[in-house]
Amino acid sequence: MRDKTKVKLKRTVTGYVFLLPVIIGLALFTVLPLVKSFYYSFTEYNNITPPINVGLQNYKDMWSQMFFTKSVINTFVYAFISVPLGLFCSFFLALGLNAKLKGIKVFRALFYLPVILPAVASGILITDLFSYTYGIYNRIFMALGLGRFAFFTSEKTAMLSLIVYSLWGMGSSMLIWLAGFKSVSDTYYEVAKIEGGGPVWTLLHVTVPMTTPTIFYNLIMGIINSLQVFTPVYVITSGGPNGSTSTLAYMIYTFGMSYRKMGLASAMAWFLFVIIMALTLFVYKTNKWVYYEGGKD
Amino acid sequence: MKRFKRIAVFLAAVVLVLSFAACDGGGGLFGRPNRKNVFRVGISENTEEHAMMQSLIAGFKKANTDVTIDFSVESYSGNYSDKLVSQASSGELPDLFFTLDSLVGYFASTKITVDLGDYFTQYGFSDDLIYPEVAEVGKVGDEIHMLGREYSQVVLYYNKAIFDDAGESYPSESWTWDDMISAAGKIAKLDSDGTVLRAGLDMRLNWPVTMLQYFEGKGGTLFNENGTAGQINDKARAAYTELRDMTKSGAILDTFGNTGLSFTGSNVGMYFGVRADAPVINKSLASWDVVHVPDMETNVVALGASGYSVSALGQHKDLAVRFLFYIMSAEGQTILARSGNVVPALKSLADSNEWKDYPKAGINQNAFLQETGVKKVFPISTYMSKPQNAGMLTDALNKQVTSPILSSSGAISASDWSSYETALTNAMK
Repeated sequence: MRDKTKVKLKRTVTGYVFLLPVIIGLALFTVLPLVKSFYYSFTEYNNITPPINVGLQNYKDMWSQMFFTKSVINTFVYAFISVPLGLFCSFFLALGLNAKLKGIKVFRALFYLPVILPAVASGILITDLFSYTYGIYNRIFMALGLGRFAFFTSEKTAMLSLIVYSLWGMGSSMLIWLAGFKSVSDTYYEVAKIEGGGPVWTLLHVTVPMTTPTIFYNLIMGIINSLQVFTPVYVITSGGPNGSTSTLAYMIYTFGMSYRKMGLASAMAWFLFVIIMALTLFVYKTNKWVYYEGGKD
Repeated sequence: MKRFKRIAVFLAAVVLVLSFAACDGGGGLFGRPNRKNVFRVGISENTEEHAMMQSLIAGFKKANTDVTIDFSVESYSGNYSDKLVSQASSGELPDLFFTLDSLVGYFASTKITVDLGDYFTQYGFSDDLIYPEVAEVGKVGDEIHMLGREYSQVVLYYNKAIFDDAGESYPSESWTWDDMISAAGKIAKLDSDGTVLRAGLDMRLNWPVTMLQYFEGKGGTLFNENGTAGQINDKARAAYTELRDMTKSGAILDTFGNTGLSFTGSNVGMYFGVRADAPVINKSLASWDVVHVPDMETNVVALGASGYSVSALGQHKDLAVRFLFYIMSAEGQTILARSGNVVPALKSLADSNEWKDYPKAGINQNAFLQETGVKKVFPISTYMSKPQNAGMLTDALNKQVTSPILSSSGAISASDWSSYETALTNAMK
């Protein structure tokens, strides 16, 4: 009995020794900054001189800051449109690329290519392509007699353009969809065929239900990523015109780094964290529609 | 199996130690890196800046043979201000670093830069040796936190090819503001749908210093005298409306419009720039020249400056100060001048060909020199009661005032003007 306990203890210790580098890494680079930012959110802090306690003032003041309310709305608009749009488009793209055709792998690679391009580089590229005066798209529109489209230069169209641009990175979701499709056993499709199910019926009654874990994963990741959207805003629009594309993550960066108001930025970051946490929990709690072939565990 | 486990545990322990070591710069497990043998200089990522600094270091070492320490030049790409702030907040500011006027207030308020005024007597330096405007931009109250390396006033660059194409005569020193605007309107080219294909002048509407110059010249104000609240007076309101109309006609480039038009891209005829722009313009345009900014109702010229500051936290403070005063000496200033980027801050070098032959001879170099009898407009931070909020005020001015006004049409209501003032006030708090 004693030997058994000793062996168990030894195994546990060995396990923790292996885990220790990760635990320490997480503690130093995730938990500690998290705790510190929570503390800073109750202080006035300029990154250098010691923080001054201001209680809940930052949580109150952030609402009166330039474009903050607008940024909250923009963040939700962006997330609520770009996530379903991304899911829908990447699903059908993956469906098309799942076809057993010669050379299909080349197309898969091509559609995945934007994901491996640095976000800043693609942002600059997009800025040029969509330029109001000399952008290639507006040149085409002009040649077709359609007139110019404002894209990122007008308050009315900038957010829409940003949402459409979010599809640029749908290659990563597409890859997960493809993996999901591959995991569905051919038996189901054969049965559907024998029963006389057409392609749409099979899609709705076999493919979609069997890939609900993939939908669930893509949905959760989509919500988290879209609520934290930063790089395209920073590179392409800088939050403009007139704050129409400003998002919470962009506000956090601007207040923390450009204005050196780290207390306010931390309060905004915690506000964003609460939103993401709440939405993620909500999606988790309502996941009865997800079908796990081998059971949930 | 037992042996394998032992090896595995040992390897895990090694990984752990290496993880700690990786977080460390070499000064003990959690200690700060030892920088006793390295003198760090921070500059912005730029080929010309790098070359300039290397020449300065070589010159300094030649003149000071007792200095044997290694110099390490660290250049930061991207947003230089943000990089400096990150360095400052982690206590890693280089011993000496290139500074922008907009950051001087922040550094002074956080006491991380040295008051250079304390060293003037020791190094035989005085404000009288440099242009008073240059001395001004480095000051915060009675303290000096940056020594401006150059005299950098806003000038009017012009592209001769565009003027030739438009059949207009080149700008001259006798031009008034109205002459310039009239020529800008004639240079502008619009598409059938009213899109500006070629603009007359890039006034750089997102640069507060040129905006302040414009409003000051028109007799307008943007904020009160104390620098605590937005105050857009009637003249400034009229000037704003005029500016909006000029951007619509293409006379002035709408900087916020993502138009893809630029002076160096040869689709803008004139440009408000400073001396530091000259090398890039020289590389981009075949034929260009420069004149003073034409006179407005009030004759004004805007000034900005960059220079160097010394970190109060650095390990080589004395050496940094010594090197800085070398940069400000005639020898150091001459090295800077030869880059073509800089008009030396030393008044004694005003007529020197060391800078007047760069980036090319034969241009109107006097346009870069100090004008007398003209009101000087300084960077926005110098007008604020809290200069550390300069970045926020700049964004408020650009994003909450100028950009919405430029995209508006018709008369601007009193409540809109009031909201613009509130935006400026909030940013100055």
